[in-house]
Amino acid sequence: MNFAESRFWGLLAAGMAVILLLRWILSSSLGGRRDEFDKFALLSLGLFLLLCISWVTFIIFLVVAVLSYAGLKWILTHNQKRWHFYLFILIPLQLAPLAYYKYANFLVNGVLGFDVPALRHLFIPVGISFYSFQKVAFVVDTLAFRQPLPRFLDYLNFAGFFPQIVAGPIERRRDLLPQMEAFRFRWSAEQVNQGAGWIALGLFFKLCLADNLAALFDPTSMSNAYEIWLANLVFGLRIYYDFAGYSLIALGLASVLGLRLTLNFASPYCATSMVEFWRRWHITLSQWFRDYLYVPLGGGRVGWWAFNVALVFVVSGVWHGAGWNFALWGAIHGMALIANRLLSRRLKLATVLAWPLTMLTAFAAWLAFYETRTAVLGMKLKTLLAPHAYGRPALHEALQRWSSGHGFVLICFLLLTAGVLILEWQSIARRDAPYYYLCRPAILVGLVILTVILAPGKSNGFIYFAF
Amino acid sequence: MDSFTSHFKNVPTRAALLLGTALGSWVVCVVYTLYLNPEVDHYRQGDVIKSAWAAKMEREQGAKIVAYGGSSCEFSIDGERLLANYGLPVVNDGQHAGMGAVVLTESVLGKLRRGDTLIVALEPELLATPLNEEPALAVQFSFAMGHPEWVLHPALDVGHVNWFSAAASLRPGGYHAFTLLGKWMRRQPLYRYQVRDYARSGWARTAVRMALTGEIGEAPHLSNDARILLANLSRWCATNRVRVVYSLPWLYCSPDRFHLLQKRNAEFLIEMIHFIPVLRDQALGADPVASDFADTPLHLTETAALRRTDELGRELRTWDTWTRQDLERARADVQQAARDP
Repeated sequence: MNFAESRFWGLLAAGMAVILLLRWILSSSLGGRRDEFDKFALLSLGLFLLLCISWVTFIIFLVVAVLSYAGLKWILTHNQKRWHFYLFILIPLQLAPLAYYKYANFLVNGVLGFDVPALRHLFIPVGISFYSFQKVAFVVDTLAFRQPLPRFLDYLNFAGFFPQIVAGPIERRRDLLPQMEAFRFRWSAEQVNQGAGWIALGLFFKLCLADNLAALFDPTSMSNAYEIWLANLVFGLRIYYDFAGYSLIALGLASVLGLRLTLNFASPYCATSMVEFWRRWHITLSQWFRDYLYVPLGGGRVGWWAFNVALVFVVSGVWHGAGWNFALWGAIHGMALIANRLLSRRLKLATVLAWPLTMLTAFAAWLAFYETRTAVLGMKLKTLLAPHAYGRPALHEALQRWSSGHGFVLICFLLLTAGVLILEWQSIARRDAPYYYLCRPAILVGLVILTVILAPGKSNGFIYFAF
Repeated sequence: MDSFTSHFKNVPTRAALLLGTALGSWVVCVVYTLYLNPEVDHYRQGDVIKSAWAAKMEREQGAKIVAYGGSSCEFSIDGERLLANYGLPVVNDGQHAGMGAVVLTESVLGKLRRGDTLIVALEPELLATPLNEEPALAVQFSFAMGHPEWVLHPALDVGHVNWFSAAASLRPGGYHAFTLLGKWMRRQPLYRYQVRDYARSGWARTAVRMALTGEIGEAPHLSNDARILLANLSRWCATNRVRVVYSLPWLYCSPDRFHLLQKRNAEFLIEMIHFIPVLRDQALGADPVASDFADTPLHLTETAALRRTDELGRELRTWDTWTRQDLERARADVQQAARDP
């Protein structure tokens, strides 16, 4: 479900038109079963949109969904007392498709050194990392909190809600399932207005900022520190606006349908520490790792808390992609968080120092995220750490390279981005509500105009679709 | 009646305002793109000049020769010289390479008559990419020229665009908007090339000079879409009794990459000759003389363009084309030369 493609909106409009037409035709005969019709229609719409991506994606989603439900039902019916034991069987089964499609090539060919050509060309089914984690959480929450098994229709709507299925937010049972159980197509002006605002902001983030920054992202330099830093900056901004844009559109679509999703980003580049950064970046994934890995390992109250943090972040890095670079990216963040926790007890930095230090860490780490070639990554890291790479010739070379019209366009987009970040910062500082000022009607009108004018002709896929 | 609207307690005014703003902005963008965009306007005016020359050639010479491609074609062939020195009624129908192979080809078909000759001078890179996603400039130019069918229903059946995507392309985009802003702030012309620099035959010249690196990219290989395009073009030409031939553009390369570029081009031509005949350019499109080029490695200076024109005149007069065997021999020769410089 690529919200940046006209095809998605066309299919959604067609699907909704069919549903509303059927609902109108059948209005008298449905009687008290209108709720059932609405739920079934929502599920059909989600599955139809998933099917439009590809057959394989559709089938794997259904396999994971049915397996999770059937496994849970079996445990609840037969062995509720020994649920801990059966979780060790069910969770690996839930994660098996993810492991195969995403990690088999890396593990078998990359780490173990075998040569299995068939694994090299596996494509990752869209959204598998997200919905697999959501279903694992669902199973654990149901058993741990002794919750009843929901109806299959409600469960499928929870597991396959189309705005969030391919790139999150990773929703919990307690948040989304009750809404699905009470779902009906009800439209209030307030919800539609709010949803339209989120969608407009999300499209601005994605089409205007992320897609234009993507076209200006140039990771080719290996020996010029300034150019590597610039690439890190552009990539860091791009991935944020790309993913936050997707999440906001998902939030908006849900809102239009009368449902509430979790805000997945809360202006992470306004954070003044790495701990705060992770409270604001991909919030539902951070919470997932906290609740289902960090806390079971002992959390932060045990002697080996630093190991727990490091492990969680390395796993989080590998969740993003099968490669050593992603593990390194996670490890850098893990180390930063450990340092953050150790130093914050003794040292209280002023915001003017803490914010640039946090951003320096976050943007330096992006290098390990986008540079998937390990040898090149090593060279670039070496350049960043070498003092002579910051000499005048390197600066002159970088300025020469960006002195053309291309450089002017980049400056314009960086200024536009800076303006948006200032509004994000003000929203938090004055209102404690992320994106508050960006969602003001007058600002939204301006953002819509900018999106229409500045969105590039060529749309890029969402980065997180690859995860 | 349980309809959509009956659920609303009141009208979602903010959503309507945002939607209205989007539509209003889009309409303004369409007006700008079709009537005010300096780039589109330049090529529209250029097309008037080229079409006038084509009409004159038809009137005065009967059958004509139309050379088309990206800007490398536009900057390299002087039709008036070919007419005066070789008696060849050549129209230079080169446009912007950013329009893509499909629209460049579609736009030339309407100018061809029975008995004409078509010189395909598309840059190899244009034929090495998938052609299923038309560049925005292609859509903009098609609509501005009053020929949306070039992208919506292309005659050669390659590179269709749906109405929604086409409508979405009729906007300037960030790169264009900010580049224009930069030029306006620096008081530069809003488009680098001027209509007054067109010769009557459609040949373009420029006084702009830029430093060139002489780097060459990856070896281009015909994409599947390009193969379909060339096969369909060949069929179209046969049906309409139009003679068709391919002519490789000249590309600047540093002297140490001269043989490498020749080898690359020979391989490309071996693929090309499967679909249409190829004019025999002994240099195989490689030119290691930096002063032959103006502002890009594909835009010849006036002096070099005259040399290229003469070379083309000779090839056309004698209808000197490569055979597959010749090309394979040439590839082997340049490969050897690359090994033993």
